[in-house]
Amino acid sequence: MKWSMDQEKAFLAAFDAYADALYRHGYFRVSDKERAQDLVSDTFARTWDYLAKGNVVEDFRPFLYRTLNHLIIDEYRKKRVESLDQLLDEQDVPESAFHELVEGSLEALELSLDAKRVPELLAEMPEGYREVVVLRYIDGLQPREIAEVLGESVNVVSVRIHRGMTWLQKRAVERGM
Amino acid sequence: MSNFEHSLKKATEAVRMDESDRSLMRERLVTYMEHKPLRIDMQEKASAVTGGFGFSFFRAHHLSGALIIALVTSTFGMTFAAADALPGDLLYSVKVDVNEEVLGAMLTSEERKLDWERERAERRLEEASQLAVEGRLDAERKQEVSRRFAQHTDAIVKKVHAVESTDPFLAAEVAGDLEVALDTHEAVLARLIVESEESERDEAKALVSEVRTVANKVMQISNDADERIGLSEDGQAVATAATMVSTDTDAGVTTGTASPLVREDAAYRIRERAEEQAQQADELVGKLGQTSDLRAQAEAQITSAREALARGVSLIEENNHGQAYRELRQASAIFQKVSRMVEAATLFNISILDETNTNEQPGERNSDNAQQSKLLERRDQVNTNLSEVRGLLLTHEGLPEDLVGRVNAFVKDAMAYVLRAEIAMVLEQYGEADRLLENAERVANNAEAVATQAVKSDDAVEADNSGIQEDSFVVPAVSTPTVPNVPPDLPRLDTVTVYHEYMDGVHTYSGVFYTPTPCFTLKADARVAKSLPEQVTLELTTSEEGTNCPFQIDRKAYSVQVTASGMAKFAGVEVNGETSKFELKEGPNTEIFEEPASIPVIRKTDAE
Repeated sequence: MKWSMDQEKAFLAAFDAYADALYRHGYFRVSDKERAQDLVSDTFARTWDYLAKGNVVEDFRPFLYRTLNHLIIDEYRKKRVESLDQLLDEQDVPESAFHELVEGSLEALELSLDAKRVPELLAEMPEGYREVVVLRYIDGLQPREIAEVLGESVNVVSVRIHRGMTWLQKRAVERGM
Repeated sequence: MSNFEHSLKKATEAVRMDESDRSLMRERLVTYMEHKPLRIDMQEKASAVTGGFGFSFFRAHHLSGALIIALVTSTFGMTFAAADALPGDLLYSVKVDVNEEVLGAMLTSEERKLDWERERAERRLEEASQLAVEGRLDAERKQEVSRRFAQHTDAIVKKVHAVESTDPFLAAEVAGDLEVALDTHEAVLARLIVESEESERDEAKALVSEVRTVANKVMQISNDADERIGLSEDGQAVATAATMVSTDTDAGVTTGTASPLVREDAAYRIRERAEEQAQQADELVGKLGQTSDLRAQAEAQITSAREALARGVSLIEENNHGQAYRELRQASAIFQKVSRMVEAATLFNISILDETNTNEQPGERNSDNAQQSKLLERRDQVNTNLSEVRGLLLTHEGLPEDLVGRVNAFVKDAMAYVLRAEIAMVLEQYGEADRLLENAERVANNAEAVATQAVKSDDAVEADNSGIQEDSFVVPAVSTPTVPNVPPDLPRLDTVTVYHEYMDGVHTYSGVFYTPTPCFTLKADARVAKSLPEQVTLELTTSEEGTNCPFQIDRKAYSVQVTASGMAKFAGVEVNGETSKFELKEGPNTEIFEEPASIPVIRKTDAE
């Protein structure tokens, strides 16, 4: 009994702690408030399903992000918008580019974006990049955690972040931001 | 933190869920968790529950004690009862926002979606009735019901408007179904008011009046759709429409009716429906006790519907599809109504008065009260009059659609007044009952007058129809007595009468506009297109204030002045932005008012 009580409590505590962050993540991924809400709702329902089957979740945050991410990808698949694989050609990644991302230091980019236009830029971003950039900079996840969420290696994630940021920088310059 | 990170954070931190959405989501989640408990040993759970509930987080602030009990019992594996949840219950939002939404999302055809939406509207009213039976229809719950009911019916109205030009039959069918359904629910609620606690009557009454308002709106849609299908009362007119396109006395040609093919299709479709409904009604009635009054009433109705059905079928054989449609439509409506009434009566264990054929008198126990007997007498008189009017319409075929629609509207309104008067009588509010009966009498008299006149002057009718073409933008400059068959003091609810006077460069357009309840305010304005000659469009806007309003047609006077040349033409009337039928009369406003002080007069002295 105590075990299930703890699980229920922990689950609701996770809702209180992460619902807003997950919603924000969903919103920047799908650019639709209602869809984002549905996604968050589904995320928690799926997570509960998982618990109800007798499974245990040690750390809710990456688990929830992973679930949400699956749902978002499902949605993209349904819409057949674009293939993640096509977007990302990760053959020629310079290993040296990783450390700064892992450290979370991006001073080199030195962007001074107009805060109001960021969502606009994000919406235009290719999905494969947006996913990691949102996870990294809006949700504040470390590349290690993102790797866990996406089921990819830390290196792949770091490269994607790097490319995403380059894309963003280029686009920001084009726009004269 | 880098500038970029900072920018992003700043840009995005404003994005969050609304507090209310968030707590609603949490609430649903808790319900979901309850619905699907963690897999644990049943015995262990049982002991935990008896040992002081054990799951404290379920006792969050938003759950009342009674709901906790509901939760605990459902944890024990009892039926998950969302389907029976009523407004105010925890599971209600699961039922309505989850289960029903899911069901609705699975429907693909427009027809089934509309049907489902209607079913949902009805479910809300059933819930209200159930709450009233249980004595739980308080202000908050009533509001919840009203809000959702309005949502569903708005959705239907919107969808019907969307399909009415492409599939008028579907529009007629859906609107007709909803109309019958609303009539039934109105009667059920009204009956429950009589039996409910004093404290809850206001809520139920307000709901009845909302239902009536929607029912009227729907009736209008259903009539419009029928008009679109182009049903002619007279089978001959169908043939005429096809062969004599140029004749201007044929209303069918000028108002854009459907082709004979569509009409034929409509007749067959409604026949199929009516036959299905007959079967359903038979089945339901068969379950009633042999000797019950309800059964006797229902059977009488079924008999008259069967007669209409038989007439419709033989008319189809005669290739008179327009007329057949009308008969079958009527049969269908009666069958449907019988089924619903029987269902409702069984469900709520109440007797529902049938508006015309009843012998039951709710106030009989006080019949020694002279005042009440007098009121009952008057009520019976109204009912008799209404029966006569209906008889008149049934026995005289070939009356113009427009008039039949108007008479039906009067009959319905009168019946609504009678119903309300009966309620007032039972509540011993004799003053109110008296006032309502007065209205009923007035409206019933109108119905009778229009019907009698229509029957007498069948020939004059065609002139009437050609005088009020809907899309007519060129109005005869000289006054024409276009409605010879209607006494001038009767309200024409679907047509705005405009009196026009011109003096010294100023045009005055005035008249009376009828609103469904006194709670409406009316604004009048005019739009002048400056092409020469100027085109003047009268713009009337109504807005409803308050909901708990007696259902009583009200007259609002309007007057608008426009400066324009003497050649200016009157282009038309728009009511709430939609083109309305109108009748232009030259000369001073001759309509007389009892209460001139209450008439809002809006003047406009300068043209745009």
